[in-house]
Amino acid sequence: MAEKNVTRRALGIMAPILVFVLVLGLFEFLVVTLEMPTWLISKPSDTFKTLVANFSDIWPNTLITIEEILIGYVIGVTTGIVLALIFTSNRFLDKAISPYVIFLIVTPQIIMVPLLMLWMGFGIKVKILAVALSSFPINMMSTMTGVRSVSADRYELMKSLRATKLQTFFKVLIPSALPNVFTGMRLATIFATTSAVGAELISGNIGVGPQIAYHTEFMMVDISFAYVYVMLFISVMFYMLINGIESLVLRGR
Amino acid sequence: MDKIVLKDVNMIFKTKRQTIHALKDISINVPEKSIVSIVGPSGCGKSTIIRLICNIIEPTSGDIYVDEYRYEKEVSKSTIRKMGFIFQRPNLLPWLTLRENIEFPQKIVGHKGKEWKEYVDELLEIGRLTKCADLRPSALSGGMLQRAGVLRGMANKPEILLMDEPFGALDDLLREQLDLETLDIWRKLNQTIIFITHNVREAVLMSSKVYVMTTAPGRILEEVDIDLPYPRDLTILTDPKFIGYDQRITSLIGELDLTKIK
Repeated sequence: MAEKNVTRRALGIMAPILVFVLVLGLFEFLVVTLEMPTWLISKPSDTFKTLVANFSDIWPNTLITIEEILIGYVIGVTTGIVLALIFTSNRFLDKAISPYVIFLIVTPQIIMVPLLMLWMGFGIKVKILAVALSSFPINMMSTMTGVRSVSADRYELMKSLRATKLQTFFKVLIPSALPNVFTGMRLATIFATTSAVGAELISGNIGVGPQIAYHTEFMMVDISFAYVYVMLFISVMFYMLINGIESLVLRGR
Repeated sequence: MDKIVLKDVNMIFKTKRQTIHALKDISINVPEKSIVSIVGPSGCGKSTIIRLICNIIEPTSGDIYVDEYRYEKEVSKSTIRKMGFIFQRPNLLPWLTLRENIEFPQKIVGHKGKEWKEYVDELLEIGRLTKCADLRPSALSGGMLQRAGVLRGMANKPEILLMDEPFGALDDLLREQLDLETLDIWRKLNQTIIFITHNVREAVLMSSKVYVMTTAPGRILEEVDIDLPYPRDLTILTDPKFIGYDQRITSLIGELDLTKIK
């Protein structure tokens, strides 16, 4: 029985890796057999070689993008949670704000970047702000949903115990809303990475976004591809990090 | 002596479209250390009654007394904390283990120390839940969760238990078993219990008095004293007197099959 479990587990880890290798292999195979020109597309083996050879150039740019994403995300998510708690604390405020939350989410916050540049210059601050702006609304909405959907039974329990407002807030409301908070946080990672690269493309020449644009312009496609792989890696790792924290915090529920 | 008294209590809920007279002139009295059931169809306001007693909501008019203390606008904390509320669904907090759930009321009220900890152990023992004390609710069966819900209601050693259809969602066999267990606990700890149910047999089995309610507006049809000795077990179900009470109350409520109304 135990052995069976181990094989099943190994299979669970191996299967996706196998698919990854297969897709890369197929990619490589197609590029080679169709004799695609290297200035148009870069086959995985070349890309990895480039990635290693140019690591000293790629790494600093990557680091900047990561920095923008992480700082912006933390600011955005914190703001989202705090605003959600404020807005849901009062029925009138909740009613007044709710219809506009959706505006914030569906409007690409990236449109603010040119104006932000005008006010704040070209530096990293603009990108951090762009990331924060685009990651807070989805987190705010999700947290609000979580707070609103705490079951009446749980509040009645607290009332029957004559609990204080603070006790109800920390011992029931927050833990009840946590699953929704995490849903928002997971979705916000997507918004954060997208807007970080987007903001970079609009302003400045450092970071992953501008590097891809720059090297594509000069037909150095292998370097562009190397950055694409890096970005893929960052996004997946970021998502998985939040996912991991989530399953750790919500363990056993 | 009467532990709990309600006098001419009315409860009117007003919404934009309509006014609902949920409770009309409810007067009940619950003798100390007795089990009194309130039985009636869904929507007759029987759950509202215990929410009033626990001051989760306030009545539109009428008086409520607990230990001869009359409820004012602000009901004293010490009065409410004499009660343990047991919900229809177990209503356990999924992020806490079973033990943490049961000691939750102690934490809120601020009961600390060895004595209270040992009491939780005792409760777990009574509910035969000691082995799974460190598991979370998601790992447990419905019957176990319900038992834990009942035990949590007793964590602060309440003098009064307000039980809101505690076993209503369970099958007949399990329900009768938990009814007997509740009677057992009651015999040991001697609380005053108000037991809400829509199941007539359950009401008769448990109580020394049954209030029969009807709906629209929610009011009391009749007060039936159950003159059967304690301790009781399932053999009582075939007692002619029991059957008589069962039939009388059932016919009072109407020809309805109450177990199907829910």
